[in-house]
Amino acid sequence: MYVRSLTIRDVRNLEAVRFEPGPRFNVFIGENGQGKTNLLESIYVTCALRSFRTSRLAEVIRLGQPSARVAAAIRRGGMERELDIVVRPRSKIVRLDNKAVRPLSRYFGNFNAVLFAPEDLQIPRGSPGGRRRFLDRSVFTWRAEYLVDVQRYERALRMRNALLRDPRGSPKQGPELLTIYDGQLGTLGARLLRRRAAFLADIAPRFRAAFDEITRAGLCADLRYEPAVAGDLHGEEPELAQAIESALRERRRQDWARGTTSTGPHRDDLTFLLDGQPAQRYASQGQLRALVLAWKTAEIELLAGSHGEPPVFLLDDVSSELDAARNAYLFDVLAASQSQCFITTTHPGHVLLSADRVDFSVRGGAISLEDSA
Amino acid sequence: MADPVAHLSRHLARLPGIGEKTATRLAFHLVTGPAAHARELAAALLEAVDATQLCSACMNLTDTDPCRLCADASRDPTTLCVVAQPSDVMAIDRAGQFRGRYHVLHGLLSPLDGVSPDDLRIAELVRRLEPAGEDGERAEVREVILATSAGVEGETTAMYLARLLKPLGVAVSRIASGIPVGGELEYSDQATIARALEGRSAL
Ligand SMILES: Nc1ncnc2c1ncn2[C@@H]1O[C@H](COP(=O)(O)OP(=O)(O)OP(=O)(O)O)[C@@H](O)[C@H]1O
Ligand SMILES: [Mg+2]
Ligand SMILES: [Zn+2]
Repeated sequence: MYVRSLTIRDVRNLEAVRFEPGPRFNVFIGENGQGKTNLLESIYVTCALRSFRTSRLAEVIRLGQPSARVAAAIRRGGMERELDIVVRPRSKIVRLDNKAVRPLSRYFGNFNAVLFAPEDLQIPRGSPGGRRRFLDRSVFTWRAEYLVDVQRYERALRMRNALLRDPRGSPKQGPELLTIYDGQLGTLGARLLRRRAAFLADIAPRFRAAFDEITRAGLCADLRYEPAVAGDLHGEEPELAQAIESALRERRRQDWARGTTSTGPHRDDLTFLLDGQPAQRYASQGQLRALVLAWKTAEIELLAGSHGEPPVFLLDDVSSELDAARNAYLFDVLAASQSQCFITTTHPGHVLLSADRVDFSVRGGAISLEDSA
Repeated sequence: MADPVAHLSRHLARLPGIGEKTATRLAFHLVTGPAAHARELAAALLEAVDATQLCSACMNLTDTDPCRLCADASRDPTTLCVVAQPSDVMAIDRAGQFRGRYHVLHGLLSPLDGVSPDDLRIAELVRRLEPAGEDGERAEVREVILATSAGVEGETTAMYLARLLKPLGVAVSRIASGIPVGGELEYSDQATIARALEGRSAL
């Protein structure tokens, strides 16, 4: 699949942008603060209806403007679809081929994009929350329905927390409602766990192989999912649901006291392992980067195999964070893939691509074709 | 902006779907247009507000009490369809599949929005199911169909009601999830609604 044309209005500093990207490599060259990441963010929003930078989508609206808009024509299997998203302060309007999409769960899966940003390189050593979002983003690109599950789980979780924190004191039906939310979080949580586990089982062998290829040092990398509620991740879903529900029930007294839900898949973690040791304590800076590069490589390979058409790849100035050999490896992977790529950089020299590329310059929120001198 | 106009536009801005800009535009439109039009609008508004009440049985909006649906003797009094909003009654009735009676909750449970069971018309629903009463309807209900949406709020409300109503000795069922996740009855087509009702399952 690829983006045939893109129209952006009032997304951050992108006031009015319209262009037709090439089907393979699109390189966006610009100084700091010119709008390169904003462009990738715009494309990502058409895929996920959320941003990778903020949980409040309305933040993307250009200051002083009432709304932001991104519209894209996506080519897939000889068909073209029109995606159109308008973001308002408190709502968004999503259109597919000029028809409003309702419910929004119907939207996902029409357009898949994999993102690789410099912040990702810190993931193995960063916060558990950052790792969960990183993992969830990948699982969503792999199976679009997953985002709906995540959003439902998050909503039920926010409901439970709101109940625990009710400033008027809990209503007399509080315990009754809590029982219902525990059950919902169990059912929805089990589904999240199963999907995360299935994704990890799929990506792990590719991840190990890619890491070996990148480092060639005989070190072995691995992934370990650490659930907050112990249970067999590959077991039956109803049993997992039961385990989560029971764990929530046991924490009830403590949760009332602290006003928050202290266990469940929203507290899970993903540990990157290097020779069996947690990478966050054991790995060098270079090894940490290699782990993430291996993950992204594995993700591209996985998706190329499992989707009818490879997803679009969004690469946000990662090269400046990688050494020469790893940067070369990354571009080899991209060249071997069939994906349309959007690559941003402050240093054109980092982009090791000769064929099939179109260069653009990004200046003060405007995007224009680079003169091929 | 002159004060009374600002006052008017603040009131208009409280309406759903109307932002400040639109409210201002509407306010100016109203005060600069023919005074007769504004007076007619005001009168129509008051008349509608005064004439509209909640049906004392089903809690739907109505201008007669009981409402036309409750008064219609051809409708099956043994089956109650519980919905969140008056607009859901309209959507389901348009689909034509359901020929029983309704009950409108006027909302869905949501601690996040401060909506607790006491804020919904649940007590009125329970009263309709309690056995024996002078008026005939009460003991007649045999099945309650929970037709709230498939989102978290709709599911929570359905589960809460199921736990509350089952001990009263009525059959409680839930519409099939033919209504897509997060979908609302209002936006579902008639065939989908009919299928959801047809495929309901006991809770
Ligand atoms: N809501 C907003 N409205 C207007 N401008 C915004 C908004 N949010 C961010 N900006 C502007 O966008 C610019 C940053 O753009 P972006 O993050 O895309 O830069 P970049 O080209 O990726 O830079 P770098 O190379 O440093 O990563 C900043 O100048 C910032 O002021
Ligand atoms: Mg940037
Ligand atoms: Zn009535």
